[in-house]
Amino acid sequence: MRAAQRALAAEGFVCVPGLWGRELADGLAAEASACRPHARIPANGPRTPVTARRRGTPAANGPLLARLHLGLTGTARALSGRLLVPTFAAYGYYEGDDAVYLHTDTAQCDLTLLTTACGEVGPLHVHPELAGRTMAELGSLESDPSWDRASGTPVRYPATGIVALAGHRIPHHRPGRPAPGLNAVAALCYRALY
Amino acid sequence: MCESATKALVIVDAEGNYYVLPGEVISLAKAAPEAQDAIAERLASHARVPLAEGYCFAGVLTVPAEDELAHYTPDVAWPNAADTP
Repeated sequence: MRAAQRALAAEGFVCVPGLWGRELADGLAAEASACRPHARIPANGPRTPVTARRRGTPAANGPLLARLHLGLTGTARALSGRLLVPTFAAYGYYEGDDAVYLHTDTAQCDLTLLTTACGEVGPLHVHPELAGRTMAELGSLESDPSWDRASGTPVRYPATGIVALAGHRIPHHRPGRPAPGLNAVAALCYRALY
Repeated sequence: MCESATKALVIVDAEGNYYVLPGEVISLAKAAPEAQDAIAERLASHARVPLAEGYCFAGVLTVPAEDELAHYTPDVAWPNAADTP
């Protein structure tokens, strides 16, 4: 855990595998699949101003995800060294491709824990070098055909663990590749109480 | 080569176990200025016990369950494109 704490503090992200077992992983996969019919494009969340829109990403939540969210509060605090409290958790669904616009998370996400709930998505590309950029500036980059969409540090979500990311501070995106079938990412967000 | 000495705050429990808090951890834990009153209200005592390096022990903070979940919402959010005018 100490190495993970140091990495998160230094880089703004860290991969922490092996936090739960196969049974919980299977439960998350089953819940994510069952919740897909209820998923909607949410009213809230980061909104990247882009000139060419792709398909939207619907989201939903479920009771097992909520329990995991609350249960990982201590892990989130230990990783960050901050008095974090849970804000929201969601499954985000990617069908056809797994692209994510370049963005930073909202103020509800001082720390964002990410994992693959079902299917498979490509690595998230994190951009510590873009910290401090506004959403307008990130949207300009995202809309620039000359911007290298393979840029950033690729981080793959572990199957039974999380990628912890200072989501409100560190911009991130996923370049996008064909993603057949149902693929869902679970995001669990925490904010500092003080 | 590192040329500056490292300092850390060290607290100790009733059994003599040390807890070493490096400056980086303390910096991360610095509360927002607007939270000062809320923190003061949560401290059981307002006595300040001098430690070292200008720091004092201010007390133990207890966060009530309702505050733990004060920001929790079942409303989901997810990154998407902004609506264009």
